[in-house]
Order: sequence, then C-alpha cells, then structure tokens
Amino acid sequence: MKKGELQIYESVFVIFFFVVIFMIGFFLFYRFTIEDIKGSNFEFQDYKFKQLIGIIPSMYEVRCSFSLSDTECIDLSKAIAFKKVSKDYFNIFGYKKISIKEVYPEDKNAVVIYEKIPNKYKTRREISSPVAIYDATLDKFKVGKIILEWYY
Amino acid sequence: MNKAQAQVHWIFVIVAGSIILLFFIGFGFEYMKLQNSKLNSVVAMQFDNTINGLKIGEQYKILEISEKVNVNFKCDSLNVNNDFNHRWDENIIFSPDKIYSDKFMIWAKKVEMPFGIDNVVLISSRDYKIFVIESEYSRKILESIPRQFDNVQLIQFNELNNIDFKINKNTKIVSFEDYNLDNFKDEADIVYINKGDFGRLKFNNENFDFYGKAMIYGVIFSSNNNFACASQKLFKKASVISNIYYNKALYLQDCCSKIICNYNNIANDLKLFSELFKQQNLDMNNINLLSQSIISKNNDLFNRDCRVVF
Repeated sequence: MKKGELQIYESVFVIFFFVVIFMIGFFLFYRFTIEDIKGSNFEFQDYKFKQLIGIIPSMYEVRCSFSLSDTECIDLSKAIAFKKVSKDYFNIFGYKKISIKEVYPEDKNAVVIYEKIPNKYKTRREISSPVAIYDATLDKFKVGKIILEWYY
Repeated sequence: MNKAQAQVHWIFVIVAGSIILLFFIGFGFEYMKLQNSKLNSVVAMQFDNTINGLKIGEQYKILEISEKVNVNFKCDSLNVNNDFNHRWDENIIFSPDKIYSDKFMIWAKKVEMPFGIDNVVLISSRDYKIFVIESEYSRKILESIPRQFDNVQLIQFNELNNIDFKINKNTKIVSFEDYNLDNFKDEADIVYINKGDFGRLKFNNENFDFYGKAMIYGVIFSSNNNFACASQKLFKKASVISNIYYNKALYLQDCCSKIICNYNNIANDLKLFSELFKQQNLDMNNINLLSQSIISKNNDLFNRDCRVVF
C-alpha cells in the first residue's frame, strides 16, 4: 500500500470515527431532550392532578347552591346524584377515583363519586384536601375531605 | 504528495466536510424544531392554567405571551403554531377559530339556566373588531363586558359605511335590531340577535338557539363553528346538571319530605327540563317557561322553610 493511500484510509477512518461520535452524541442529546419534554409533560399532568382537587368543589355538578346563590362547599346529595352520570366524565377526569368522606362530627365511609381504574397500572397516587360538606338530610354543614386517586 | 494525490485529498476533504456540515445543519434544524415544540407546549399550558384559574369564579385576564403565536381554537382543543395540540374537553370555549397575537383577552362568565351550569370561557383579541349597532338594549349588553375587551365598540347604523374593512379584516357586526346589513356581508361576519334573554340568533346564514346573556357574549366573541359547538356542549351540560338536580329532588323527597315540603312536582319539572335540552330542535319558549316554573317551585320550597333543591 502506498503512503498516499494509507493517509486517505487513515483520514476516512478518523472522519468515520468523528461522525459516529457525533451521531451518538446527537442521539443521546435528542433522547435527553425528549425525556425532558416527557418529564415536563408529566409535571404538567401532575400539576393538573393537584389542581383538580381545587376545581372539583367548584364544579356546578357538586357545589352547593342555595336559592341561586353558590356557596363554596360540596352538596352531598348532588355528589351522590353526580355518581349516576359521572361515567361520561372520563374525557375530563381520566383514570382516577374521586371520593368524598365525612370526617367530623362523624368519621364515615367515603362516598365514591367517580371511578375509572385501568386494568394495568404502574403507580397509584393519592391526595386529599379538606372541604366543607352540606348534608341535605340533616340540613347541616360538616367537615369532610375530598380524596383524589390517580392511576397511571 | 503528487498532484493526483493532492486532488483526491481535496475531493475527500470537501465531501467529508460537506457531510459534517450537513450533519450540523440538520442537527440545528431538529434542535430548533424541538425547542419550538417545547415553547408551543408551554404556551398551551399557560392557556390551560389561566383558564382553569379564571373558571373558579367570574373573572377576566389578558394573557400575555412573550411572542406572537398562532392559536387555533377548536371545540375540545387548542393548537399552538399548528404544532402542539392540547385537549380541554372540560371547558366550554367561545372564541374565534384562529388568533395570531401575543395578547389574549380571556373572560370566564357564569351560565345560569336557571341554576349554575358552568363558567364558560370567552376569548378574543384586539385583531378582531366587533361593532355592535347602538341601541338602548345593546348599550346594556355592552355595559357588562369588561373594559379590557376594548375590541368591542358601539356604532350607529349610519356610521357603518365609515369602517375601513381593509384595515379591519376580522370584523363582526352585531345587531339586536332588524337593520339591513346585506351590504357588509362580504366584508364582515353579520350577527342578528333577538332581544331578550332567550331566543334565536342568526350568524351569517346559520340560525342558532340561545339562552341567557352568556350565550349572547359567546356569539359576540366566537366564530360560527365554535359557537355551534360550544352551544351544543352547553345544552348537553344543562341536561346533565338538570338531571343531577332531579336526582337531588328525589333524594330530598325520600329523606326530608313533609306535607308542606313536597319535591315531586319540582322533580318532574327538572326531569322534563333535562329531556328538553336533549332534543335536536330546542323549544326555547318551552324551556323558558319550565325554567320560570322551576324557579317558582324552588322559591316556594324556600318560603315554606323547606330545603331548597338549588
């Protein structure tokens, strides 16, 4: 092999090596960026999940209304009625379980108002928040909590 | 190195250099695309956060984005720069089909039919000029629109000829009277709205039903496609909420009815009310009559010291 040919092969090898290194670098960078975007998307989903706990009590489907004036509380009788139609809310809630539980003056069992659990899931997260509950049966306000479970 | 070797060497350098250069250019473009997608998703999230925040009450805000973006509003989703699609099935949005701006006026308005149904969201931009023909009724309607929505203005019918439609490309003319606006139908969207809290409205050549002031504001700010879709969602939701109140009335009848507190009548009305909103052709007179009857029965329960349904 002549010296010139050897130099060309050497250069080809160096260029090939550089291209491979760049491609690996580019691939890794691309993957990291995609993962970062996925991470941001998950963060957003997580934020929406946490936000939902504040939104549900203000939804007209469950919130208290007395003589056309709205009050910041959950009407238990409306929440029970909402359960009958809540299956149509999958587009809004997704794979979640929403329950309302009276904690004071009595510690009662939670009332599930929405439930859609996937057959398979990796993680289940639960958050809860205190909420005022109106019990129409007794015409009394009680202390309760809204429990939100997310399956993904 | 002889001459032939030098030539091969140079060809090799040019080819290899080009490949590396193309590789970097491609990388640069891909990176820019990725960053733009990321930015578009951030804009979509900004919209989502703003709307969710405003919807908790009746509030308004001007959402300012760092640069002009092209936002396509559809019934259940918004799309930023024809790239990032974000679904928001939970929201009822009255907006134009498309806004290219860095300032978006957003207003959450409560809909009552007669009880609270939802806080609908009205979106507009200064690029959209809305001229409402002045009358006593239209003045009252415009009084409730937040001052920040300064793209809506009252105009005398005879001043319409002074509008320069070349400057105001996205223009809508709204009338609560029977003025002849045929001369402007090529330059602007024309909306006729019946005076009153319910009835019919005509958006260009399409007829729609409306119930309540929020839907009047809805048609003022939205395109006919988005109005049609948002109205359907709203009527569907009215049916769902009426059904919830129907079930609550049955619940109260079971738990708490007395001789003076009977919930059967209001329950029947609520059931019928829910069914009326499911019909293809809505009978707004009937809906309004039933709505008044439901309010009256609820007030009656309140006056008898019974638990109210809503």
